[in-house]
Order: sequence, then C-alpha cells, then structure tokens
Amino acid sequence: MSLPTPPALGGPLADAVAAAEPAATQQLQQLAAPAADAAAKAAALQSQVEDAAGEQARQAIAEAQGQAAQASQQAQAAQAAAEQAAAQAQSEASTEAQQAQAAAGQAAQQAQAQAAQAQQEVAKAQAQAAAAADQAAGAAEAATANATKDLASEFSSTTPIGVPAVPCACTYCIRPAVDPAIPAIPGTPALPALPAMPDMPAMPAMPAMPAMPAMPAMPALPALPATPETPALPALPAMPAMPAMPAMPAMPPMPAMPAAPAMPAMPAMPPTDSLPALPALPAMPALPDLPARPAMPAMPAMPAMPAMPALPAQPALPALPATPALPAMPALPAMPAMPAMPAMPAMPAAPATPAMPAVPAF
Amino acid sequence: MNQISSEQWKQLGRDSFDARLIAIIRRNHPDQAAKMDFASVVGGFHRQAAKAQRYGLTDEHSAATYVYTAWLMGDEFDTRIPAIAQILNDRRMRAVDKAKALGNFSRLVFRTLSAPASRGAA
Repeated sequence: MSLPTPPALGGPLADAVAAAEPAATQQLQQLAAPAADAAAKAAALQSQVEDAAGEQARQAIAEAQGQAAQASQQAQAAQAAAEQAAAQAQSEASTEAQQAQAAAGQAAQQAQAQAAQAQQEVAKAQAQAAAAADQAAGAAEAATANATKDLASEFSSTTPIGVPAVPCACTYCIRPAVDPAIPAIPGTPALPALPAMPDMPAMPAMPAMPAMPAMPAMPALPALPATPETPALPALPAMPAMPAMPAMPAMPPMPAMPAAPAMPAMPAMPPTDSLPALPALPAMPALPDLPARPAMPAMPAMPAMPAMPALPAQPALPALPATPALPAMPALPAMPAMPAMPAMPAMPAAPATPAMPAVPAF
Repeated sequence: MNQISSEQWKQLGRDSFDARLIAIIRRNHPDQAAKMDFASVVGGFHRQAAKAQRYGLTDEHSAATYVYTAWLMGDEFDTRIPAIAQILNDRRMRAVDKAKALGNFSRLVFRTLSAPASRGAA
C-alpha cells in the first residue's frame, strides 16, 4: 500500500497522513498486505483491534497506579511532618507550641483525607480504564471507532439499502426517527410535514357466522393386513470350547506357627480352711413386751327395721283357651316281616389253658 | 387518497440513507465536515453505495460502512488497498463480516497514523 493520497470524498486520512511519522509507512504496508485468504485477513484485523484495545487499557491502568503511588507518598510525607510538629510542640510546652500542635494535627487529618480521596479516584480510573480505552487513542482513531458504533446503531443489518427509515410509533424503537424538518444536506429544502392520518372509519358489524354442518361419520378403517410371521431366528452357532484353564500352582505350605510361650503358673489359691474364723456375733437384745391393747367400746344398738308392707293380691290370670285336639295319626302300613336270622355256628372249644407255675413264697 | 410512486419511495430511501450518514460524519468528524460541501458529496455517496451492492453489501448497515470507509480512505480504496480488495472480492464471506473488517481496517489505519513511533500497529 502506498501512502494514500488525500481522499476525494473527505479529508480525515489526508490530515492523518500529514501528521504521521515516517515509521508508520512500514506498518501501513503490513496492514494493507493481503493474507492467505480473506477470512484470515479479517481475523487478523479483528485480533489487532482487540490487542490495541487491551494495550490502551493496560496503559491507562499503569498511569492510574502511578498517580495513586504518588498521592500515597505525599500523604505519608504530610503525616510525618505533622507528627514531627506535634512532638516539637510537646517539648516546648508553650501556648504557641500548642497552637502549632493543633495546626499540625489538622494538617495531618487533611493529608489523610486527601490520600483517601486519591485512592478512590485511582480505583475509579482503573474501573473506567478498559471502557475508556478508545477515548485514550488518537482523535482520528476515536472518531472512527465512534462512527463505526453509530453506523451499527443507525443502520439496520437486515433492511435492504434504499428503504426509508420510517418513524415508528411503537415507542419501543431505540432508533431515533429522522426529522424531516431539518434538512440533512445544506441547501436543500426541508421535506414538507406529513399530513395527519385521517381517522379510521368504524368497522361494520360482522354478520353472524352460519352454523357449521354436522361432520360426516368417519369411514371405517380397512382392516390391517396380517403381519407376516417373524421368521424363526437361526440357531446360534455353537460356542467354541473354552480352552482349559491352566492348572493353578500348588499353594506353598503355610509356615509353622512359632510355639506360644508357656503361660506363667497361676499362684495356688489358699485353702478355704485357712480362712480366719469369723468372730461370734453378739447376742441380740430381748424385745420389750407389747403393751396390752385397749378394750374396744361397745357398739350402739342398731335401730329396729320397719315392718315390710303386705304385698297386694295378684289378680287372677284368665283361663288359657283349650288346646284343640290333635288329629288322629293315620295308621302306619304294616312292616314286612323280617327274614329269619341264620343260626349262629357253634363256637369251637377253647384249648385248655396250661397250669400257671406256682408263685414262690416270699 | 395520495399514493407514493416507486421512484418517490426510492428517493425517500436515498434521502434517509444520506441524512443518517451525514449526521454521523458531522457528529464524529466536525472539523472535516465543516470544510465540505455535502450537497456535492451526496452524488459520491450514491456511486459508492452502488459499488457496495456489487460487492454483496446489500443491507443498509454494510453499505453505509462501505460508503463511510470510502469517505475516509478515498474513492478507489477498494482496488488500491490489496487487503481490502481481497476481503471485498471474497464471495464466501458474509456482508456483516466484510463490514466488520472494513471498520477494523479504518480504525487500525488511523491508530497507526496517530500513534507515536514506539507503538506499533500490531
């Protein structure tokens, strides 16, 4: 890129080129050189802009920190001077010295207040450093950055070019409407004010909707064809025989447990007979005789019970009606004669029981 | 009832586009704007807007960014600067990405020109 000539449309670049340093030429040539492709160049430009913003923010923070350190040193010096004046006043112990001490204390308080205020301003500057990085750059760069932001807010990225920006009455639009009364181009007449919109005529009443006809019955769905039977699954191939597991090695013999040491012999218990004899218990004192119980007083006689009144006579019970005579039982039919029982066979004679042996005498 | 013809509608669109772009230039570049006759610049705006559409910048934001970059850099900036020509002639890149690249390039150019020697462009 050769150094650009003053543009035909405007002069910002011409002014910047006139004030530029000679070293900027090489940097401009690097900036104007193409990359491997357009996307790579666009990404490189975006990265350089972000790096520039970060560098400006870092510079602003460094300047703010330097100012904070300077303010802190001034506050410490003022406080030290105040303490020295106070010590000197105490040693002199005069009226003028006391006044000087009071003035020194006041100066120390003011110095501390100034230091605190400086710290607050530094913190505020650090917070605003990143946001104000654009403003810290050159005037032309800042104007270009602001104009780019304005372009994004004033022009839509979805509206095709050539469509006028009609003022919207929704009150939610953030885009300000173009005031036709202010001519944007000097020398051109302002647009006439738009006439007020006429009132909308009242809408006639809508006729009643006709009743909807009844829906016809749904035709019966045809029967679904039978699902073909699922073919039988082929038999799974036989699994190959698993190789024999290698024989486990013989377990090594367990090491012999060391012999447990012999338990020490328990001391012999003393024989029971060797226990000392218990002393004889003292005789219990004789219990005193119980006193005679006092005689119980005679119980008063019970009053005689009144005689019971005679029970009233019970009325005679009415006679029970006579029970009707039971009808005669019909004669039972004659029972058939029982067949004669067969004669019982004679019992065989029982064998003679052997004689019981004689029971020996006791 | 009054009707707006197609040509009147297009004229309204061009006027709206020019008015918004000129307002932005006046607001951000007051010194340069004070020295310019915008009545004669409007014709250049329309020519640059037509070139922007040939590069695929058909929405009004991308076209306005192109016209603004042309106002900053010069009429033939699209062919004179190789990096810009590469970006504008890429048919796969979206219009919004081309507009973003134009804005970044303008900013870096003025940063380089206004920076002290100790600070590089990149």
